[in-house]
Amino acid sequence: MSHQPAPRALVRRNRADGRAQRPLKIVVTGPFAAGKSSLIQAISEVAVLGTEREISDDTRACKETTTVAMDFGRVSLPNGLSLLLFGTPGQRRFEVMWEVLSEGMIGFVLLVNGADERSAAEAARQLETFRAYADVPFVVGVSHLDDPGVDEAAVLASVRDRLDLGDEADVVACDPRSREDVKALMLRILFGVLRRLEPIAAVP
Amino acid sequence: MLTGTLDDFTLQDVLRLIGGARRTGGLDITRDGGAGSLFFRDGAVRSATPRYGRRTPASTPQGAIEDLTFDLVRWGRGDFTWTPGAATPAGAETSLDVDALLRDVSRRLEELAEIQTLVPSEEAVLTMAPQPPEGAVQINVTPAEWRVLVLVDGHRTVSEIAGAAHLDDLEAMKLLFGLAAAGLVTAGSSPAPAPAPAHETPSSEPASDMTDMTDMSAVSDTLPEDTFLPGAVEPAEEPNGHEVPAPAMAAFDLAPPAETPAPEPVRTAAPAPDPAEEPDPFLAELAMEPADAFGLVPPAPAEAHEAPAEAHEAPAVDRSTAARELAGLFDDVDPMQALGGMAFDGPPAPPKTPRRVEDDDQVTRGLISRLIDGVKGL
Repeated sequence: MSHQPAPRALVRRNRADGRAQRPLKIVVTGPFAAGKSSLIQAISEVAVLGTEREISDDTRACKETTTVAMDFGRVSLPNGLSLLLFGTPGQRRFEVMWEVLSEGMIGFVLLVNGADERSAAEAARQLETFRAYADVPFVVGVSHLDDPGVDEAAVLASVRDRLDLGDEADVVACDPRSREDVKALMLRILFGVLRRLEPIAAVP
Repeated sequence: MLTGTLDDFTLQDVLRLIGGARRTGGLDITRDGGAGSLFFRDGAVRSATPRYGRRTPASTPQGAIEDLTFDLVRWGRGDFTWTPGAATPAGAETSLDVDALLRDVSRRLEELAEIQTLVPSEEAVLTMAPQPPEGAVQINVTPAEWRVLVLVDGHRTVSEIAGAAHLDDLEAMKLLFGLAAAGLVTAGSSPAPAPAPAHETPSSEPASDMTDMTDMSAVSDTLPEDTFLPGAVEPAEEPNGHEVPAPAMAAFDLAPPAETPAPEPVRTAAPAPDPAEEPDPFLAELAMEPADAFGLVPPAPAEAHEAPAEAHEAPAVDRSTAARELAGLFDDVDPMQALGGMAFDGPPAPPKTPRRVEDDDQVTRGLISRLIDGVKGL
């Protein structure tokens, strides 16, 4: 037994002004089968409270299960802070959840399946919706670029074009299973927030 | 050879004598709780040989000496045998001054005294606090704390919790002291009756067919070895080798506060939840008030076991109710039907003016900067 003071579970109470400092939230959205659940699983240290269900409709050809309701992940940082990740449901009939999930988010990741041309079209609609919910930084992650013969630059340019985004927008290749890639996406969003708060800020 | 009892002299007295006289030899101590030997050269302690099971043995010779001495000091009466000239056993050794060793023991005893103000002994039985601490809006529990917290059930002693969590008794006491100081657990006087068998769900079985905990093997590979992953941990074992209930199922409190008025019934054709089911952590998150929804609100297992019907009452928040439906609680019901016939044509309409992140008074430069540093440090 070490002789440091006994640790104590942190009970966070309301701040002096009576309000609680809420944990900050990043939403992970994107079309069906873009890799949203994988992204959250790649970095969350708690069991992802996903609610995967077997797919019962014709989208089953793409994957066996999909997320209903949402995925939830928590990233505890070395300095004691934490980030919460909420993934949106994969199927249209659960879009009712979007507004709830977007409440209080500081930014969002839009994940696009680079191997599926339909994905970018669907993503454009989601991007428009989430930008309408909240004016927050976002980053577009393009997944499924690891197939042989895929021209990554061309796909990224195509996605940028389909989403009608300018050069200033972040559209980057991303393997949602890669912890480092996911960290990079988080950092882009956080630096985006910092730039909003502080016009002159370091670029990641 | 010198032998004696520790009735008239304390172990500290004997150690001071050996150190002060700069003796070389071995001191065997047998006490109620265990036994061990300390080996000296010219009055300095060189190594220790505990002869009792310590679940988390020290990794260094100095740590082993300090652990053994502390354990021997705090246990009951005993006998000692001094063997002059006994050679230090082969292996790693150090040179530790007796006075420094006793200072360490003294610090540990002081800490133990503090711990015992809330966790009286290894035989104490603790229970979960029925309500979160007053004024708490978020509770953060470390993986180590969680490891013992989920074993607090009003029946196990501290020693049994330590055994199930593969910790030494004192390590468990220390963790439980932290939880008690935070108001999450309290020491009771005697074990309560055994829980109903229906709640002894082995961790290898899903608590509910509505709950799909994602396979965490990929995630756990990226984490420190001792990181506790709810829903993905190896099941802890009771001292007798039996598995304890899955920690993840005990990590959240489904029951609304006692003073919360009963919400309106949910319009649904789904059957009532099975009271024997364990709480679904996902649903528990959704059922919490927004301010609590992101913290780990500890469960009150005893209450949940005693009043399972209340534990599954629908939350008062309408959105949460909707989310529960959508979460697949009723798999065979179309979500539109589950929401009482409400029709949704795509996502809800956005507000006229989108919320701007820079207008959020809880998003500050300092906080974001620290988050950036934290993510970089992952």
